[in-house]
Amino acid sequence: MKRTLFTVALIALVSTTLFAAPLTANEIMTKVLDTQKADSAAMDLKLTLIETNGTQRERRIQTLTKSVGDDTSSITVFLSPESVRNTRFLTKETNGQSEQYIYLPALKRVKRIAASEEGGSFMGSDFSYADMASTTYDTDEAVHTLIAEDGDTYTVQSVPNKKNVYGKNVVVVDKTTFLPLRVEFYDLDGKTLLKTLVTEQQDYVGDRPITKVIVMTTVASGHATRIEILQARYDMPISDNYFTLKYLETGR
Amino acid sequence: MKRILTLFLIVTLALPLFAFDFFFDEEEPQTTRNVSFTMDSGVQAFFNDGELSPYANLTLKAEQDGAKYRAFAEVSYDSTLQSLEAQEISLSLFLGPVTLKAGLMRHSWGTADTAHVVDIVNGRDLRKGIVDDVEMMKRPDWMLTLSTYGENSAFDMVVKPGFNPSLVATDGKFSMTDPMMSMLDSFIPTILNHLDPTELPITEMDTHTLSAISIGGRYRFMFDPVDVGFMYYYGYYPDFGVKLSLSGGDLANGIPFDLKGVHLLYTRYHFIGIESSYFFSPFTLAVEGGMFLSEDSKGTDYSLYNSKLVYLAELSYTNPNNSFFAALNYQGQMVLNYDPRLLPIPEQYLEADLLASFNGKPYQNNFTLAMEYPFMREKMKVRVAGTYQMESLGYMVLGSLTYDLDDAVEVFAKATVYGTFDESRMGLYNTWKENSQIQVGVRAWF
Repeated sequence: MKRTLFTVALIALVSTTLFAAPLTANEIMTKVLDTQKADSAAMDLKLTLIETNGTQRERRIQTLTKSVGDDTSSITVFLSPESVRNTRFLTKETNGQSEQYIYLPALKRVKRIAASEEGGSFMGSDFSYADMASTTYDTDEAVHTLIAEDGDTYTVQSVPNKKNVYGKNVVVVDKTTFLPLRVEFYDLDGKTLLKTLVTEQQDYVGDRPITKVIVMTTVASGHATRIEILQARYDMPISDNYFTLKYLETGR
Repeated sequence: MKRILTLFLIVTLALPLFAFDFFFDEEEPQTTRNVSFTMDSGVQAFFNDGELSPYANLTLKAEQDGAKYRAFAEVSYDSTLQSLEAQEISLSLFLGPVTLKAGLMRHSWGTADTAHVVDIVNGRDLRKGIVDDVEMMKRPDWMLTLSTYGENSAFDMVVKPGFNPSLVATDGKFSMTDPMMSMLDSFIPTILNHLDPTELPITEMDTHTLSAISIGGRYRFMFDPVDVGFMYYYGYYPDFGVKLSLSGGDLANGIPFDLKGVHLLYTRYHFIGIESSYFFSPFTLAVEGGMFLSEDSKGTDYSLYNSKLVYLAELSYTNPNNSFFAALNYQGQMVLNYDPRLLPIPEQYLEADLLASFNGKPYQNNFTLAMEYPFMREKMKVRVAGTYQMESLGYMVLGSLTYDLDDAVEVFAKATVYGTFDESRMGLYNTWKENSQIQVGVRAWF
């Protein structure tokens, strides 16, 4: 009996290994996005801007994000440095239209500003606003090609359909967690390497794998930005009251 | 006692920073404290006389946030004014959709970025001339505010039991009383018997009584891309008027009056105003306007301010990618029932509207252009602002360059130039035309 069970188990294991269909590039990138997808998120982040001479500047921010359908709203609060503490930044999406508001405590006023262009720098860092939204493309946004595979990783090349910021990305994906371990961002010509993103540390929030520490480096200048997730919570109920004029003005 | 103080400091400084309660452990009380200290120190040099003076401004801020409240205190020491002053001492209570805030503070109205005509709740602070922080040119006042928010609207109400009048320098380079005394001297002894101004008895209206209560409210609503706010305020104009105490005198026979004293008083008014902004990416058009309905409705009392209209339009641009900001602001006022004829009546020489006017006109118009450009990944920032006053042909230009040595230390150089294209005309910038200066310093946050 034992032998029979062992044989069945072995056959099942071998079958899975030998006959499982290899993942396509689209399936890999879908898994990458699904792994990072959340209806809501609360993050406590530390941004470290690293000069080529090693000088570092730190920014501490906390952000709430909530998606309803295809619309995503987010509120970001600056905690440090002291000169920008309590600056609050709200992005609201309604039917795909984005509105951005900023509250500057020194002026005690809320000001509406233009939505940032995708390529604009986020807080003077090496991340663009597009990078902060996602460092990889969805299957309907780019043509994905699996260009390499080893025991631990897939390497996928993504050429976006609309080349707004980058001409090509090359993503190295962890086979276990489906998190991006390294992303290379190329210029619109598809040849010049602009930036590299490296995941320095992975972690888990519950069962969800996350990239806890990532570093983006601008190749031309050598300037780098390190983002560390100090705390994160996902898929919990977030009140709409956070994405309001009241919260911007009062912080409550 | 020392141990308690040390423990308090450790607890205060060790508590983590949180903006959202999602990051609190459930067992911990949802309270945060933050204490910060800012030092702004340097040297300023005046172009005209070469006077060189070091200065230091020290600011201590302490804040405690609970689930339903926020307590905040800000105290600053200014070596130029040699004064230790509370900038804000307030307690806010968050009661569902309603926020109650009480204490010494500044309350802001208006939608423009560079200047306002409806931001009238606080008096002005002109003791250091024009500085590059609009909020710091407002004098904090004791008040109670109530704010409530709807889905696309907001209402705030303010009550001030008494008021702090505008602050002006009484001596030194930015003195506002010296020009007044010069004016007084100009018609002495033709219609006034000379009195030593230093011996002149000067009294002032008591502004801290319940009879000087001020109350107002503002209602705002947003219909994307337009915001509109309406406001009403019943209060006092924070700049003083002058009432002369005279005896004797018969000008028809060339006999001058005896000046017995001077009383400073303030004008009651109703204010109705509107603020609005229209956003058309990446520009914002802001307008503000209103009418002061003075207790001196006919403009016959020289010691009180007349009714007046105020208006403002501003076009601003913000580049979201590099934070470059530029704004062109036009603002003005029209004093109603103003008689520009100078009669041989002593009181009229110190008429409130005449003292506040630019070149004796019942109206004034100003243009302001302001720009800010951060670069080198926001390590360096250039700010330039210039104002031109049309009636007096006076102008003021502010320029500054700041550089962040690190997150907590920045060095800066600032220049302020006051001037006029016609020295014979009356106006604030003409009065201060000798006060152009440059500052070099360092600002540090702890």
